[in-house]
Amino acid sequence: VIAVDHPSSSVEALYATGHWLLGAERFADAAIVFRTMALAAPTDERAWLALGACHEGIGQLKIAASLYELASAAAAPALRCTIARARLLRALGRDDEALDTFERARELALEQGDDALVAVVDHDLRAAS
Amino acid sequence: MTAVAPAAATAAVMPGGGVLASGISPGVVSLLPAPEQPVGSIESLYALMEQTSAQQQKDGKVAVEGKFEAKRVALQKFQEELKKASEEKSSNVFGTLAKIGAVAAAAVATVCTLGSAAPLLVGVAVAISAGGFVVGETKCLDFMGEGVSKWVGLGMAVCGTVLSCGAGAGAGVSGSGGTAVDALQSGSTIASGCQTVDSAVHQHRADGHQIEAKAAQHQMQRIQDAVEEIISELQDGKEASGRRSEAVNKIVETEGQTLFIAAGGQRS
Repeated sequence: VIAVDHPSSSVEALYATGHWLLGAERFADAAIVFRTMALAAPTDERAWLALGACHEGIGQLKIAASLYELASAAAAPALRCTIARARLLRALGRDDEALDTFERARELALEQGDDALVAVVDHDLRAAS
Repeated sequence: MTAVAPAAATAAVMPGGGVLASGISPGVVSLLPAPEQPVGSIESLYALMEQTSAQQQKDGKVAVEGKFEAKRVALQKFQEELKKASEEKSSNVFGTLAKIGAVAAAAVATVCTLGSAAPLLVGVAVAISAGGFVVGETKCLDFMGEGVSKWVGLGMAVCGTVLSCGAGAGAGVSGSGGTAVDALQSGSTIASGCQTVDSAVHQHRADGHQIEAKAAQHQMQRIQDAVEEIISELQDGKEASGRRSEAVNKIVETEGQTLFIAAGGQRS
């Protein structure tokens, strides 16, 4: 296992392939692709987000939550992973943690000026309350 | 990253239109942006395969030279901490394990990566992910319980802290072959140590808590088995290289299928 830098075209090819596999619910195959992508481009948040989704797909929620959390260090600020983690915590019934995480996600979205994600978080917060 | 959608109420709908199983928490996949390029860049994947192979050869040579010394130092540090922890006779098995794991992870991160812990972080995360699938799609690592999850989480947090104080997530990623394998080997050491601690704690609390201690011991055994399985999966460089090539070949084959479908054919 080696973490190396690859040309963005290769990373994009991996992401496109993994995304397609994930859409086909081939979670194990998709996970192989996204792990390769995570090694090739660890700062790309999409790899961690998608890898977490693969684990969610087979019911490994705690591993997924750990991967989303890890993304905040490896691919900071990892706003989407923060939102995904908040949703997961809510699904796990850890409502207080979920709420805190949603709030943090909202702050990050505002900092980044990402109106679309602010709207997404607001929608989630309304659903949670 | 572009496309996002508010969480769907019942199922996670992908930008491309796919719908995932209900096992996915609502809306997670809707966070995944659509790919910037269509599936089908076979040339890029072949380039990736070629580069990976070349990088492996280059990194392997460098990694082997420092590997044994780094392992020796890390193991020594770990054993010292293990001895200290055993003497503390902690009544909290997982608390002790977390401490041991954190110390060992920090030591290994420092020793093996010479200050750049990004590859370790990535390696640990990928190993955990791979371990999940090694264990099986239904027999997930989650069965190990909340305590183990915290332990793993703490290990990650330590790595993250080392990372954030170090060269940064993006820097120093190249040319660090073998580091993840080192991490896994250290993980095995940690698991072995954990079992030792577990045994010590078991003995210490044997009078009143035999059942609890046995359960913990079984959990540690499961962790060790899982870690060892991951190591055997990754340790043999030649086989691992073959598997990587196989994985990339699989990707290429998938892309071929996708192109075929896109061209109007039917999936085999």
